[in-house]
Amino acid sequence: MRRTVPALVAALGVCASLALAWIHASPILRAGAKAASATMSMAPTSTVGSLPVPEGVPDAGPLSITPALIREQNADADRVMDEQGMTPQMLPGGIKRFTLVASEVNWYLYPGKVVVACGYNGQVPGPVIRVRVGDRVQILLKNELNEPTTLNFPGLPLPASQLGIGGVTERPIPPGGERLYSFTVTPDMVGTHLYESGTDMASEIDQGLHGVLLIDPARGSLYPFAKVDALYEIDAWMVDGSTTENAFGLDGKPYPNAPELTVPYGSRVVLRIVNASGMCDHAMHVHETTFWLLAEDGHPLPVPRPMNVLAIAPGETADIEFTADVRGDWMFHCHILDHMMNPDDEVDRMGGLVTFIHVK
Amino acid sequence: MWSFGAVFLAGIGEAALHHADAQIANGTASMAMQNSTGDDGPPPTPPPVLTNAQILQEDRDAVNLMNEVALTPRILPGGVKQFTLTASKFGWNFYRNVNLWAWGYNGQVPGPLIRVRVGDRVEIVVHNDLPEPTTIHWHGMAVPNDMDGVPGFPEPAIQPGGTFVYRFTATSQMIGTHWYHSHYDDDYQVDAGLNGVIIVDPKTPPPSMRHVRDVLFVLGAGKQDGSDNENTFLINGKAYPDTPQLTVKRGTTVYMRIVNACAETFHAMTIDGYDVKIVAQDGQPQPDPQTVSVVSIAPSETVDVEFTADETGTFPFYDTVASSLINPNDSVDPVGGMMTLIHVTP
Repeated sequence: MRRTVPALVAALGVCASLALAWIHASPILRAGAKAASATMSMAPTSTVGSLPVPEGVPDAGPLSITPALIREQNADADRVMDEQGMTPQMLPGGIKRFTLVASEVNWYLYPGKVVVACGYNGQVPGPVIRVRVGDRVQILLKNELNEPTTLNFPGLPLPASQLGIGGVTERPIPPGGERLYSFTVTPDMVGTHLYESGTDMASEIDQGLHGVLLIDPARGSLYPFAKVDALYEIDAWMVDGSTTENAFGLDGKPYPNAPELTVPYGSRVVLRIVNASGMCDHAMHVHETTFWLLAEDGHPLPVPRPMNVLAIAPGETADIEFTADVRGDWMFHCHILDHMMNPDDEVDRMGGLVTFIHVK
Repeated sequence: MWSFGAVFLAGIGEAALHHADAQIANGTASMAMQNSTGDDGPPPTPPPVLTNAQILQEDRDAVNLMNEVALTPRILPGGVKQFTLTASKFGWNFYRNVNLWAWGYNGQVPGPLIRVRVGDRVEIVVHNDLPEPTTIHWHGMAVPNDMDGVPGFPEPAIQPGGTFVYRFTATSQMIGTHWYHSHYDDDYQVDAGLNGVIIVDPKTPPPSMRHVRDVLFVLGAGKQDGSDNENTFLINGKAYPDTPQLTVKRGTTVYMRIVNACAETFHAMTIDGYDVKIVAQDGQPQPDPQTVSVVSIAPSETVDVEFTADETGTFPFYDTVASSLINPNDSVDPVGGMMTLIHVTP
């Protein structure tokens, strides 16, 4: 991401010596010495004084995107809500390969606010990856950012060799580099999970490097009774130079752009809610109904629990169920009330973590 | 973003200023500076002046709320229970000498308790005497769509000077501890005081509830001194040491309803010396009640807990999130905010 020169200099002061020592110990990066020296100036965070602070997304300007592109991005959000998985490349032996390209993208949030986000395959959240028990999966991450990154799968029982905390369990992938993550889907992985950057998480996650991983049973669907099975991924942004989260979206889009869900009257509805915010807990409230918590982090509860509000921490996922038994337009929103506003949005009274469930 | 919010926040700082006796004098200089710099909004509203009698009445309101004294309805022909809530701006004493401007229902923060039974036909007449539109949302209750209080979905907000009548029949889905709050300019209006509790009882109270002491604690928050974050924490509209205190006889089973009416802040409530059993969340009886020492409660959640007061003494009930245990501009009290005391007598 863009950095101011003073921030860069300060960052170098803090991190350069560490980075140098580490690069000399790293055969991979020595091989790509040129890339590595370019990478060195990309410190993990910017700094204020001597304290590292998370880095948000800079403005791209309202004219940096066309109405057609905004529509395309909203269509991406609809596909995420509808849990449409990306199509894998089928390799010999039946291996499913998903390729994620991390790069910058001008991302439309709300009227007047377009930011330079980081996304996978040009979207935030990244495309839904949907696989089944027994699948042999490869996820190829290509880093087209100008900073190192890795991929991490919080809560998924993966072998240690496939864990992606950059600088801790694996070497960060330098700009221009790539890495293949491979695993076989086991029954204990069934459910709703997320994937996200495992490097400089305080900045990269809220810049947009996150997505959802849905794991189905070997056959059929996890919730066969559900007429509607929809996904809301909660994402957070630091805009206007803020170092704390101050803008929030559902499936990448703050209200009034958040995808809205239409469900048939009387149908049983499952919502999968994923908190991909880097920092904030949320308290998600569905109007009209008492819903039942079915599963947390992919694990089914022994006994589902009834509630009106779901408290969900960063990295957690929750599957809830309710019956759409009253017709109308029902709000679904975060009950932390400053999460339902867009900063400096003079057009819309409501923003952020708000959408509607239309029972027709 | 919200112009009236600016008035309210400015008023809060000023309120403390004008009550600058020895207790808060230390804080006034910096507050005066905050108010005079960087605020291009309207000029500060003069602070509320409250008589001792008014403050005593507020304290009684807080105790009555703890004891679940409910608003008396008018019974209309046909048996409809009609409650009237008037939303307006008024002065409120939060603790010590800190008087602030609040927006609330019927002159109370939180609003009066509404209590009905399954099968009741309910009318709530809401008058808006505020300077901006407002609505009421019946949180956790499956009311008809046009009674849900989300502005424009489908009913428009109640304009200043306007009135709207919310009508619904209490159903079994609504049993339990719920709350009502403004859904217009939410972040500002809810913390300004536009919230209250509604309890829906089953047609016949279960035998298990007949011999318990049933009490209500509403967790609230406000913003003083132009803070972006909630910095004033309340139980039943009052900060410690002015929170209502509970006294029970040893051996009493206490059924405690806790409502987090804060707009933004999670809390973690504990009673020193006691564990509690979580019997309901958001009004819904829990299929697998858990016994805990600390009750985590997100904004807008309600949690009903139960415990038997089997040890005599005085036991603090408070938020273990320590940032909730301080009163801005209060140099007298070592502890403030979201705390009260439970006295168990022999």
